Amino acid sequence: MEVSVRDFDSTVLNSEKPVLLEFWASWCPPCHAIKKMLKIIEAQEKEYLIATVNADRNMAIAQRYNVKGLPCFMVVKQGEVLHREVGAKSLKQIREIMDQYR
Amino acid sequence: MHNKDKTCWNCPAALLKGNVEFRACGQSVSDIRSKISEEGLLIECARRPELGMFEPSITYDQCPEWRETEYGYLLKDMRIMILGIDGYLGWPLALKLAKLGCKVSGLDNYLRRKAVAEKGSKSVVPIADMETRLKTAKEVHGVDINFKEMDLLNRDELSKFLEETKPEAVIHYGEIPSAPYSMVDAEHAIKTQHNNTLGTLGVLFLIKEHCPEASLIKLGTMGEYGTPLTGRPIFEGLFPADAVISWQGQEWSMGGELTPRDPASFYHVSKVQDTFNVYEACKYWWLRSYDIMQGVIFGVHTAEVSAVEDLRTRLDVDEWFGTVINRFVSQAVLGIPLTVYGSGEQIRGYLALEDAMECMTRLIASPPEPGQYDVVNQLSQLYKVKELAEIVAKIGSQNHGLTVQIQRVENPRVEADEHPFLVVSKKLREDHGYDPKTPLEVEIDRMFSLLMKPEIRERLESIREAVFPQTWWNGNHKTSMTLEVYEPGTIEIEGYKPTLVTKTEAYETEPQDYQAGDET
Repeated sequence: MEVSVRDFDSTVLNSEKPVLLEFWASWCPPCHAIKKMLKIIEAQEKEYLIATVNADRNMAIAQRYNVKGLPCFMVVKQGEVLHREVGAKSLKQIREIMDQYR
Repeated sequence: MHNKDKTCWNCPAALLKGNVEFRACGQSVSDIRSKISEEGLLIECARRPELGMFEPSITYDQCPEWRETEYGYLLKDMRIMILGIDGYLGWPLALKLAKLGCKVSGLDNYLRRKAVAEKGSKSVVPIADMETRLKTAKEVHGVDINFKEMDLLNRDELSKFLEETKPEAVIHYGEIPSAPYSMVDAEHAIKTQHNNTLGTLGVLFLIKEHCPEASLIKLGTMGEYGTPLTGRPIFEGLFPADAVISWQGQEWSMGGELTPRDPASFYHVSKVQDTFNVYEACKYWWLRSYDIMQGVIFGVHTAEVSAVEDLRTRLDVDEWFGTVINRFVSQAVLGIPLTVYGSGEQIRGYLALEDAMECMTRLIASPPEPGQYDVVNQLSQLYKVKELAEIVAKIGSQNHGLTVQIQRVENPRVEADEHPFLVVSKKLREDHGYDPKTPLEVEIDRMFSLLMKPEIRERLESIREAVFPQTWWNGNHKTSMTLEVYEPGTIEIEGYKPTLVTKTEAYETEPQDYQAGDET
């Protein structure tokens, strides 16, 4: 789901489930490639919350997490960032990241 | 409606105004800005300034400026600029959009008319001059089209025109569209690349200056990709995220990177150069663009151009500007055995004129996001050239009483005679609601009916010589020799079958079936 400055804290930080968080931008072609794949993951994933943040529309969050380079992936559990990686990922690679924190 | 949930974020009337910072990938926000607003990005609506500054979240179906059409929600009275409005595609699109209620402007310097004349040819379907076209469009369809004769390389004039019209979409058809033309000699190659590449580069700067929110719908070609002999997929311009490169036991996603291009003439090179220039302009300036990798267009019909003779679009059948199906039909009418180059095993993507116009309309209705560079492969079906010759021959003989033969001639081009071809064309169908409407056979039949009219047949006779291939990629200028003449229906169309992927496959939605490397 797409989250913004308004619901970031309540949705992502207070999530019961671990969150796969992705920062993206509309001018970033790898982000668009990832977006389609995340939708597929989101439709099937029960244990994770999949959250995406448009970095340009929500610069305060991007700055809070010191986002440099997009797409930027994080695994957030109970408000804590456990993992972060930058750049496009294959489905297999994203699943591997998620599996580490189940 | 496929685009009803899109919002102001995709709307060309949304002016990005508050809490906006343009950045390129890899630069951090904190490096650039010391003070970040806790609010999100804000816009102002150029059409509804009374709303003030707000978050870009009104959906098309909520906004009174967007209205439903059969092609999706379309911006009311959308201002559209067509570069190359007098051409084969430009004119039918102008009529279609104007009829849909868009405010259409356009320019042309009649380069196409002049270049076809240089070849000693002319449009087989007689076409009216622009003054008559505009007058007839008004009388028949009740539309006003704002036309200016202009070379798009003249940036001062184009700048004024854009400033005056403030387009919300720019359709870029203003390029020299011929591979053989670009291979004639240095002069023609340079003219093609100068007009196409530098023309487009200038257009990008002017869009940035006058209408940065407009979507640029830029015509590229499937020929940019070439025909890779590995048989790897021809993706839609950019790799999907699950396409990976593996090397020395490690793998990396190629997601979002431009796929390799392997152009097949200096004309195709100009289109590849455009691809990079448009891609960069989107990245640097937040322009937004659909780069259309279009298949080979054929046919003569749209509802608007077929209404009366003076609205017809041009139909070229000469070796420079005639596309293959259009040339085969004209050869069949002339009694010339259809000229298949080389083995005839070359596979290309094809699209009827009417379908191409629908695709463009759908893309205009759903603009990309700010800064988004996207690519669509615009085609309806794949055919081998010799297969097309058979289809044209069959319709010509069965429906129109013609005696049609097929000839294989020396191939003047440098291209793979036989090659695999696996093409992905999903975006128009999955994201924009397109479904091919005009079957190949129907449009070919329509073309025969038109070209068999005595007055058109006479015109065809007068340019008979222009249909033979004479422009060689090695610089020679000579008529290709006939290798073999055969009767239609006497050869088997067998061997390799190309694949067109038009929808997301099951394995992409069912992870248990997914294996890395399964992507086809």
